Amino acid sequence: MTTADAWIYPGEVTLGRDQRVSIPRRRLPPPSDEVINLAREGNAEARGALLATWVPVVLAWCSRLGGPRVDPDDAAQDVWMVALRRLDQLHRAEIFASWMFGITRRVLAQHRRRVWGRRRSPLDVESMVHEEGSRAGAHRAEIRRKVWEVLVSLPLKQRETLVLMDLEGWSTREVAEMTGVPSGTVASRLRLARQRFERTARARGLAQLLEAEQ
Amino acid sequence: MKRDPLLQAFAEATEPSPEAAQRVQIRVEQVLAVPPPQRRRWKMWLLGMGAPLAAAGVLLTVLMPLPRPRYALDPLGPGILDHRAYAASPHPPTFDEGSVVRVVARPVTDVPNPRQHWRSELWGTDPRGSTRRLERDLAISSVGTFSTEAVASNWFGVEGRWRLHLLIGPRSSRPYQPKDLGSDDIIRLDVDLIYRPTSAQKEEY
Repeated sequence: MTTADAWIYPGEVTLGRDQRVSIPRRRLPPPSDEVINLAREGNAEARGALLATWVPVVLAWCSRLGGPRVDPDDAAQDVWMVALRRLDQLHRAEIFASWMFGITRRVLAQHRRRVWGRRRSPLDVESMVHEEGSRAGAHRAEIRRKVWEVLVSLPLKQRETLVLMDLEGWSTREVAEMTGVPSGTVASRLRLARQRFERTARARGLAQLLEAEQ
Repeated sequence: MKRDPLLQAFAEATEPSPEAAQRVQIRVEQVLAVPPPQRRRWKMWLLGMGAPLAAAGVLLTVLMPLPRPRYALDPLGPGILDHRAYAASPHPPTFDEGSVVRVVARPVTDVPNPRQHWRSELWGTDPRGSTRRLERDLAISSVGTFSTEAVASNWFGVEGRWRLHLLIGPRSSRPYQPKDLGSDDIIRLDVDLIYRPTSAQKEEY
C-alpha cells in the first residue's frame, strides 16, 4: 500500500497481496485544529462532527483489539468520555489518531482486567447467535467464535499491528507513532503476527469452517 | 491456507455497523448532557467541620450506601410502538411480525449519582417458558430513560403470550439474566404481550 492511496475513506483495503474486499478503510486524516479547538470549548456542532467521523474508528479498534469478552460498545463509550474530558491536553491536531489510540489502549486494558475473572468461562455463543438475528446465523457465529480464538492467541502487540496495518491500512510509520515503537519493530511484529495467525487458524480448523460456508 | 479469507472473516465479524456507531455517539452525547456533580471542596470542608465529622461521614458512607434509584415502566411507552393505550388496557396487546416492540422505563425516584453508567437489556420468555435475550442497550447515565426495542419478525418465533423483561443494572460486559434479579442489584420490569403471527410467518417456523 502506498502513501498516495492512503487517505481514501470509505473504500477498499488490500488484504494480503492481491485480494481486495469491501471493508471500510479506517485510516482517516486528522481533524482540523479548528474542529479540535471548538470541541474543546464545548461547541456541540464541532463535537458532533468529531464523534460522527471518529466513533466508527474507535469502535472498530475496540471490537478488534478488546477481546471476545470485552464489550466494544461500552469500551468505545468510555474512550470517548476520557477523550472529550482531556481534549485540552491534545496540543497538536495532527497527532489525534495516535492520541486516541493511546486512550483506546488504556481503556481496553481496564476492560480486560474487569473481565479477567471470566477468562475460563466459555464464550457466550448463544447471545452471538441471537445477535446474528436468525438460526442461519449460527454458522457465522461459529466462524466468529473461532476467529476470536485465533486472534486472542496472538500476543496483544502483534494483534494490534496486524489489525492496524492489514485490516485498517495505517502505514508502518503511523503504527510506529501510535504504538510508540520503531518502524523496524512494527515490521517485525507484523511478520510474526501474520505467520502465527495463519498457523493457529490452520491448527484450529477455521479453514474447514470457511470452506463449508462457501 | 491463504491468509486472506481468514482476515476477511475477522474483518467481517468485527466490523461495527453504522447503527452501532450511531448508538455510541448518541450515548456519549446523552451522558455529556448530564451536568457533572458539584465539586466538593474537601480541604475546606475538613478544616471547617473537623476530622471526627469526616470520619463519621466516611463510616456512614460505607455502612449506608446511597439508595439506588427506582424505575417504572413509562405509562405511555411499554408495549408496541404506536399502541400507546397499552397501560390503560386490562389485557396484553396483540401484535404480529414487523411490529416494533418497545419497552421504556423512567426513573421515579431521585438518582443519587446521575453520571453513573448503567445499561439495559430486553429479554423475553416465550409461551413455552424458554428465556432468551432479545436486545441490549448501551451503557447510559443512570438518570436517563431506558428504552429498548425489538422487531417482532426477528425474534418472536412462538405464538402466544410473551413476557418481556427489561433489565436495568450496573454496567457489566456480561449479559444479564432475568434470574439475576436480587443478586446483582438488577432492576427488572416485566411486560406481557401476545404474539399472533400471520399464516406466512407460522409456516416459516
